[in-house]
Amino acid sequence: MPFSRLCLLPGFLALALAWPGHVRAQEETPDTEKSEKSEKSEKPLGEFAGVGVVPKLSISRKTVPNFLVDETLAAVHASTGSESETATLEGVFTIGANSSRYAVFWDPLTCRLLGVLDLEPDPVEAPTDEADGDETASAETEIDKGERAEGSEKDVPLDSEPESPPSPFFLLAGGRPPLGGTAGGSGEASFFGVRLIDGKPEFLYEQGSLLIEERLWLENGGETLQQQFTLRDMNSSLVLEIPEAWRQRVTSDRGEWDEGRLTVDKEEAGEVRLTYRLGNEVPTPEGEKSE
Amino acid sequence: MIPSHLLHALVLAFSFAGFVNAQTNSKDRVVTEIAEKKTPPSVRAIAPIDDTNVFFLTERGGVGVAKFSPGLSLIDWEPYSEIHWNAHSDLAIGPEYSLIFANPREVTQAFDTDEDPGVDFYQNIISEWAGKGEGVRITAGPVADAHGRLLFALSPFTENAEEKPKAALVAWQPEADELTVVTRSQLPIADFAISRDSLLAARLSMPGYKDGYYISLTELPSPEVIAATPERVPHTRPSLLIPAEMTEGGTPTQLSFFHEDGMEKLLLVVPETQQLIEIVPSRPGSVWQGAILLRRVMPSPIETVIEMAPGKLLAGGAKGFTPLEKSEQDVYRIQSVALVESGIILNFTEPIDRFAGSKPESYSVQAIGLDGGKSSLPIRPVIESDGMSVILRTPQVSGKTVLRVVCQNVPSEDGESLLSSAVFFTVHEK
Repeated sequence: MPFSRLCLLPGFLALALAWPGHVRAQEETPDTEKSEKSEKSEKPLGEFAGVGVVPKLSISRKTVPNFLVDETLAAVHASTGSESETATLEGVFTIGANSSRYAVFWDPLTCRLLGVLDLEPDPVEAPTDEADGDETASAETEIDKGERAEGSEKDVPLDSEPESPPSPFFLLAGGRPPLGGTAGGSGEASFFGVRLIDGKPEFLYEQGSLLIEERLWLENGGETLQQQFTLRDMNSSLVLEIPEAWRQRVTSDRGEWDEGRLTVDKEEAGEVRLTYRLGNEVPTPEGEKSE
Repeated sequence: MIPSHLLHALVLAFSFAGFVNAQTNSKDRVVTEIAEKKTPPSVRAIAPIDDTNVFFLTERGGVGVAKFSPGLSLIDWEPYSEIHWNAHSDLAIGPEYSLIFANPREVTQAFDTDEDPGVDFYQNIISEWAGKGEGVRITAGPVADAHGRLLFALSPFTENAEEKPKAALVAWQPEADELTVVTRSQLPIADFAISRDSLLAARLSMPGYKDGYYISLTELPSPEVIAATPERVPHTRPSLLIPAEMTEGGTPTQLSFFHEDGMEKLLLVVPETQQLIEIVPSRPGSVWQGAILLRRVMPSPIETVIEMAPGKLLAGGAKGFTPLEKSEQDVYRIQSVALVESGIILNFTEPIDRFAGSKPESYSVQAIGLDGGKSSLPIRPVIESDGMSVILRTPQVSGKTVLRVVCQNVPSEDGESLLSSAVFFTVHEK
């Protein structure tokens, strides 16, 4: 292709760079990391070696079997595709790591965390001839081998979910969008793009009138999922809602929980980080609030 | 000019491929050679940056950048993205060396914003079009054209709720609010390429038809013409039929224009059979037609081929890159087929065995009607003085047929067998 043809799409780089906070995020991330590293070096490792260690992430967009159980979310996907398309989730982001047994799914259509897949479900629990078992098998074929974890074992099922069907998926999305209860957050989601900040994906989207940057990454050898919401020009308190079933696994770095509802005062509402416990044993890093 | 950070990636990669100094003592310096054992990338689309550098898409959806020698030997390659994208096998280059690709639901532009190097910002640039909520999807593209537009195919597409949904090739321009329909099509467009002269070659999808594969050749009007007379948007209709017999049942996938012998030709890749199919388009009247020949059977899997410079072709597949050099001409094959008043001219890459080549029974010519029906044509071979061309004299070639010419017993004068004994010619008008 001759270079004379490279002049198409003028101005789009500028548009990308103009996303609110882009420059700030690029500049501030090293400081944030530096701060985290400094904090870690001063603190003992605690009961779980590897706290705070961010494994190299493997990020991809792919089509995976539709594992959604929430009717509202399923309806969104059903309304935007053909019958065959609703059997799958097209173009979702999958985040994993070689050292992690978990793969995280984020959906650009509804702009939210959809769920987590345990790539090494307990073999005792795994059915072989039921629908869920089939789903497990097909889902695993969709996950790159490179994202598989090695050598980790799941000891005991979580107390909150011993009787639930043995699905390898958990932290399944449901209900209205996480920030739907925040002022300005009731409206349609519109995906703008994604950028990498030190190898971590940060999804940029609008939810109603909110401009949201949502960063996801794995820590603690892949046993912990971090989810950071950054909202620009917030002048009201932030209300973040999660499904009740998630609550036992989640802590936040600020705000007050009321069951599955987190409220952060407007002074601190510009940024909030959630920490999800994916495995059975995780430490609670100092400075984080838990119930 | 290639930006410095991109060059840096290539130079750095090249430097590390050679050696590493293990000891710093100058007297007893020990130099340990580290052999370059980088696995070849699995390539499924290539976008040339210039004559010796390319971006490419990998099988898993990653982006890479590769540097070649002037003879297209691979010097080195590096990953250029950390996110694997479920994109179609088309890759376009935008301003500032941004990369543009599409999946069924959106077109994405990826930038390197921190010059680390590698793309780190992926922006959704096209995600809305009529009927998207009802299942209209991007089936091929994007391809950048000479007018600064991005073209991609949508299906099933309709501009009028009352008409049956079909397909369309649409264009996007940054300053325009809406997509512009460039061609309408009865069949979904599975892949397409655009020549420098705005000739569109499209492979049309017809999954239920097992006897062949339709290629459409359509001259694209300029944006000014479309803006002035939108009702005159051309229709993408089948121009050529690649018989399944030629591809041994494999489906041709990617198309690419290239230049050879002063002509603009088309190449199609057949991944299943590792074939390269060559089409020589011609337009004697108002409709495009052309010859269809087997150009080469690759020794390794192939997914894509691109013209880096006139006469220089670069192929990519599961085992990396393969330059397609002129040495391929050494393969004994039918190089071209053309129609003349007196019959059909076949050109071979080597002199043929004159004894065998002079016998009418060494050839068979069938005319297959585009509306069905099949007939054998009587021929009388006449070998040219150089021994590399044969005129099959026949008075009965007519329009609206596919000619199937088989040279069942025409070895070279050295005794070599033809790469493929059959060639095809779709004739609309003689």
